[in-house]
Amino acid sequence: MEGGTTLVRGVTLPKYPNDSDGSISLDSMGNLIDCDWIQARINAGYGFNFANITPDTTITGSTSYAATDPAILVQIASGTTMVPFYVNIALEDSAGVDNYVVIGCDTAALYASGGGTAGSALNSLRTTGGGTSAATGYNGKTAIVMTDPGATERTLYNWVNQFADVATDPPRVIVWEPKYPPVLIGPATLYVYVYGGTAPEFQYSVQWIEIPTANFTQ
Amino acid sequence: MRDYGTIETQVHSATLPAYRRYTKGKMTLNRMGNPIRMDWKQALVNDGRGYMLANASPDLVVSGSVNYAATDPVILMVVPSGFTIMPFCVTVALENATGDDNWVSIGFDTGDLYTSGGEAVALIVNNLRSDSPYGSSVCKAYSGGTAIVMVDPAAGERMIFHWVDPFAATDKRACGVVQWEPKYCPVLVGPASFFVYVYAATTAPDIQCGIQWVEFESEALPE
Repeated sequence: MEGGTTLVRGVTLPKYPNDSDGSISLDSMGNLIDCDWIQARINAGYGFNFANITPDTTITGSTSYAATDPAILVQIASGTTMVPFYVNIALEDSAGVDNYVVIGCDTAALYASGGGTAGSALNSLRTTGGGTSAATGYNGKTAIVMTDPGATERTLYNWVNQFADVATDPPRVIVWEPKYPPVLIGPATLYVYVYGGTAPEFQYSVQWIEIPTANFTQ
Repeated sequence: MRDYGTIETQVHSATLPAYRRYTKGKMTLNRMGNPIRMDWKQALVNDGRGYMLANASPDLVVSGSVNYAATDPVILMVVPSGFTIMPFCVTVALENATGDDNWVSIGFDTGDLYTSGGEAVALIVNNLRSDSPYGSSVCKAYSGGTAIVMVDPAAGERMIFHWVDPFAATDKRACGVVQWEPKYCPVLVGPASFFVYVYAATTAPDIQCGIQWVEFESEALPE
């Protein structure tokens, strides 16, 4: 098969076999049809989702901040690199004030104990094909105990709402979709703190792609 | 070194190129020499492989549920074997949601999960390219106008978006419009199901809704 050339896309989409020389697809105006590298990894079956599988089974956050007690923790194993690109949190019944959501990451496997996967599942974003995740997810339905990340902590996102009046507050939905996501070389940990004066209940989805670290760093 | 050939380029001119299918076109550059990019999902829409569904008439609303039930989504789309869809937009507008804690949850799973019911309020499926060169979508869509009965997706379920609004009173500030438009889309290899739950604690919300996706033969996916 000819490589290094361009080909205007036809009615039938190209389906080049793995390791073959493909042609670059152009549309009829000569525009380069490009695919974002994260989307390409999802298409190949290496995008993953950790979320409630039963929408009315909410997870409970904390009444105050504790560095060792995140509400969600996703840990990636050595040898695999994780690129988180999406976190969604929807807060319910947060009658207290000052509800916080904080997303962070750090080097090393910080999971110590507790947590679990009650009401949640970790699955591929492609329904069939692809690989198995090298990550483990925990939610705070049973309190997670995490090693305090301390000074090496990377806080990626902060969100707060007062919620003093449930009747008139705007929707309590957080979507974190960074333009340039961080890169977590395993072992590493992504975590989300959710806390408020009254422990907020919430539903969530955390999404990322995985890449063998050997491919990523060379 | 192996000769991989050359890539021919052409600086964008006043007249847009109109290359025929399966020909070797020249990659279009701007006057600064940058390739002019086309997002591949937009290219699929341009090809006629983008589809949408919506309420048949804006005043024909679909009712959600009082309380969550895994087997009772308000919208269910089923992708047949041999085809893949990538949903890229869901819009839900909630009406008369006077109860509290109105939820919208979006998910998908493998398999055809439809069992029975649905369709009392028609959903219209159309091509996002007006001349519909690929004709109709291969997907089937069901609305919860008459309650849908779906197989419980259980542990295989992928919930990818949750939204909640208190609406404890008919609120003056909050806007009951949910727009899910992810930067990166899930990949549903048929047979597969895409579903939207809409429910509240006390009063079933009425909704208008829209779903948009691209659709193509599964064999075009990476192996």
